[in-house]
Amino acid sequence: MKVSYIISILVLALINCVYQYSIKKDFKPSELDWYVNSVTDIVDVLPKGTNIEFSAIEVPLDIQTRIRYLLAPRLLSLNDKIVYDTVLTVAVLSKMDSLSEALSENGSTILWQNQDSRHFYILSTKNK
Amino acid sequence: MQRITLYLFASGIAACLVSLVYFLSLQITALPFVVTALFSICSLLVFFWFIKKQAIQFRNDELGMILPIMVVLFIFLSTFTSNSIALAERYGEWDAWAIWNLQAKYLSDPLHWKKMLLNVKNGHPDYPLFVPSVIAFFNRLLGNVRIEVISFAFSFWIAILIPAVLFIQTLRKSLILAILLLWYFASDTFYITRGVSMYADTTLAFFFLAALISVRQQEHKLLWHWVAGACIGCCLWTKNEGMVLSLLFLVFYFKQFHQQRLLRPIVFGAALPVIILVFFKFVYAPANDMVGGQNLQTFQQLFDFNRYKLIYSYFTDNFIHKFGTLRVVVLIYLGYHLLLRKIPNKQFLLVITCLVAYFMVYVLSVQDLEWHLSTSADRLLHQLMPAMVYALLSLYPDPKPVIQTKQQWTMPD
Repeated sequence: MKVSYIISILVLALINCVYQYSIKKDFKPSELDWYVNSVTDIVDVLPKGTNIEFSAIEVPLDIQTRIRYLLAPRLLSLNDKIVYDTVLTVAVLSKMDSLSEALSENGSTILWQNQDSRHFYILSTKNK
Repeated sequence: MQRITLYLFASGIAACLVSLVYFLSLQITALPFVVTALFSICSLLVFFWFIKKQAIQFRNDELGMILPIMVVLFIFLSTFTSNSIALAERYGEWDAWAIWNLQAKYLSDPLHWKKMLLNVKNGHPDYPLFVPSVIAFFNRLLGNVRIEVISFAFSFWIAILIPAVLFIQTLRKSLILAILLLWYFASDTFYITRGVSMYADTTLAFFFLAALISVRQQEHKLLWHWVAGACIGCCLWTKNEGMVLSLLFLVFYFKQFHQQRLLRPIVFGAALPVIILVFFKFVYAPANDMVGGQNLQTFQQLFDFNRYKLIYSYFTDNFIHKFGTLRVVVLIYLGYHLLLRKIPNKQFLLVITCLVAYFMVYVLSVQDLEWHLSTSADRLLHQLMPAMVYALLSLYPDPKPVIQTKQQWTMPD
């Protein structure tokens, strides 16, 4: 009986903590919080097995890794070179001026864009 | 006390069992999830029926006064929970989204899960799959809810199991010491942060601790060695570092196992995770970057004194800033043994040997050393921390049991 008391109190602590985590770490999108909603919207329209390709301008590793996480398992991988019909391009631009230039070169449809103090992150698709 | 300890260990081993069954089910592409779920639930029922049957042996093993114990646990869990919520990151930390939860997402997809093996850049697809598999299983069981919530729940459970087990083990020595121990864990922000970071380090720490505790039990040795074997298997199926810990554990205890004819339960206990790990490593996992990158140049690193200096400075820094209290206790412990000219106990020596092994891994590392140390040194120490606490607690003598039998005192450690 005493064993069940201890296990019960541990399980109750687990339930309580997970409940509080779900409430307090609410998953509503915020300006700089991984752009979860926007990316999830994009994922819904991407065909399975979509490849990801980063623009010539270097994308920071942490952004690459987070995008890979958010889009898994829809994407093959960041390293895969196989080209599929739809290519998701992620561009990181450090200057406002380069935004329009990059878009015209890319010829892609902007699905979503966001801005923090330093960078613009653009997710766009185009057909190959 | 053995009964509750057995159940707490069993909850971890049960998670490993689910993980193994789920990983095996992925080998059959067309297998409906309902079959996997039913099979997993049946496996768990059989497992807990077995544990319950074994636990009957400990029916006279009482905890003592339950009310103060419950009050102490309640206060500890309340503090631990509020600290966990404050310190937890919404999506976990780097390795959570780069490795563990990422792999769990892939494993949740029975058709495309093998794509994760292509994530060789910062994805570490060679890592064992205990944590991702168990998260993926519950993710599918609960209908693909947010994977971070399941990962957090699993991390939190393992994080509270460690202090709970140490508390139970210390109760028979001293209630005050047990309370101090809980207070230490509840206020250790580094332990809690790592515990709820959704990494696999705390899981590895738990199983290593569980194996150490199991082999020190004086009664029902056969059962406890089965448990120890299963825990060693779980270490192997959790992280690559588990191989180092398991190997050293076996080296340290081999003589004891052999003399007491207890090698067989250890081997059989570890068999299932080991077989599946070997299958995963040979069939799916790409070469480990640390092993695959070894060449003559890395051998030459053995003679580079600056590397030793740098690793030592990182280890010392971590000891001071992240394990401050433990460091002081370790120094007192060593001073005490030096003064009395005694050799520290086997558990302590094992943990120190593991530390030396980790040190040498850094010496031979093919990664940029500073980056490697800054991203992982504190986690490796975290893996050994609970075992070190247990080794230090062993210094405090066990009280004489109320009902003393011959069997209880035949095997001093």
